[in-house]
Amino acid sequence: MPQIEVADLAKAFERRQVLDGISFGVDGGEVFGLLGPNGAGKTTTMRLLLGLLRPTRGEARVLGVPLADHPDVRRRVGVLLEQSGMADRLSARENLRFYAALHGVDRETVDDRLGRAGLLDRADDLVGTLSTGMKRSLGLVRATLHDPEALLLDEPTSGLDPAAQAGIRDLISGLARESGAAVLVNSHHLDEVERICHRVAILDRGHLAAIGTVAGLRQGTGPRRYGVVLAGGADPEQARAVLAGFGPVEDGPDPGELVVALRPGEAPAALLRALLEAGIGVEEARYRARSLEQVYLAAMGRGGA
Amino acid sequence: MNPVLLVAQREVRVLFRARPVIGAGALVGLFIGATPVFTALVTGQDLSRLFIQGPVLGVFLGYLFSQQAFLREKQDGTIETVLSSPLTLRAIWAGKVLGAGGTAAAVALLCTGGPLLAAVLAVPVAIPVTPMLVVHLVAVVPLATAVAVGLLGLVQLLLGLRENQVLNLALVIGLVLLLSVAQTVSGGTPTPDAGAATILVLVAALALLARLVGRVDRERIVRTIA
Repeated sequence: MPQIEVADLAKAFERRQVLDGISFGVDGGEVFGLLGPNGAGKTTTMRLLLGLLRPTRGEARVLGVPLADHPDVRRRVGVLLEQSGMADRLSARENLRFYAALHGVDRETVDDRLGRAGLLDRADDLVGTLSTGMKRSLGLVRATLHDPEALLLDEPTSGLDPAAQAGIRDLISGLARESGAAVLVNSHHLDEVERICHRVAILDRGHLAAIGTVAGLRQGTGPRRYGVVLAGGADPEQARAVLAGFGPVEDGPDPGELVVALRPGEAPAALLRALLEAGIGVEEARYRARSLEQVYLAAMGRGGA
Repeated sequence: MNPVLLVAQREVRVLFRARPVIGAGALVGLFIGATPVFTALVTGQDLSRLFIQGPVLGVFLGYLFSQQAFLREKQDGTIETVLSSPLTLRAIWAGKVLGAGGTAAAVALLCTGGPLLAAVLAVPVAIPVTPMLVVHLVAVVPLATAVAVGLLGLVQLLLGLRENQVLNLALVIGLVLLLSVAQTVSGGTPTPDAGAATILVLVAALALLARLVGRVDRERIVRTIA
């Protein structure tokens, strides 16, 4: 059974439909990414899962129960929302000790985790005096202090420098891998999602636009994409004209690369033969999966297929 | 530790970081609390004014100390995290009532009981401290303060933690009026029966407020967050 699960989940505020019948599940040990533009319904999904909002239809369950009715189960869940959730007028240590006591975690663990996050020297400073990145790191320490079985994270690396982002990505992956926690990550960072998530759902205006493994989504069900890196001296415009006979052509990510979305029935062998017959040298050729960004934009109906 | 005590402890810590608020409260409290004692010493009047001034001071300090207790959770961006923790809304409310209300009641008691005790110990003039007055200060002042803080907290929760100073002030003035009416009805110095009835009414009010808090929808609070 999934540790985090939404089934036919819908939410309307007055007459505004924010979510409309989305379903997905996150198993233990899995990192699941929820992608989508602002207003897609990501935060609402998170709030519904946490029991902060009531669904208009459907169910949102964490560890098998709706959290609104089960404060005892909330003890086994870790949460990092858009704001880090730490009181500005308390020190980092005081904030963490409060949440540690709520979750039955001892004080030694608090200092141990502060140390691991590199925040021990700022432990007695008021949170209001810490930088955004430090607050975010502290928020993540708080969310994972009690080794939760399910972890819900909203933009976990927002405001962090690249090194801190990498550290947090490792922490999230490690939690899922080593303690078997189910992790749901809301994020705008496609590269981050691509690196740490096993599966991804893309939300668009309250609807599930795509769901699947990162690799599966990149491969997609659309036309196979074939990339050709032209040899030095080859005329790109001439090559483009030849390739257009096999499908829509676009520039590839590598220098001198053209990518063709092959029409049904077209094969790379015929394409390469056509190029060679036209006297166009090819340095390298291979299938090209779509980037997650292209998948995302396609799901949003903004091209990229 | 009990979750309510944990919230209360956190509240007291935050409150004591706002030293100007505590200082201002203590200053006003000392002025209000010492005046009847000084008057009794100089004019020989009884201390019946303390029966009303004690609880009124508690209510005022409760208002002063709890003004930000609930709203701060939203301003600091902690409310969703706190609501997602194992705490129930009632435990959060009760902890804040205990933390902010307890501090207000303690300051009120120090400001009224302190001058009284000092006068009894240091001045060779008989001060008419009755057992009824002691019971009143020890029981009615904290309960009236708790009811004030609890009522303000409930209203803030119902408003989705949106600030409404006019409503807060109206509630405080309403409570003070009720206390004044109660004292007038009891003829200045309450009888033991009137004192017991006051305590019972305040306890019942607190229980009712706790019950009502349990019915507040968390969605009401979360929906006001951008």
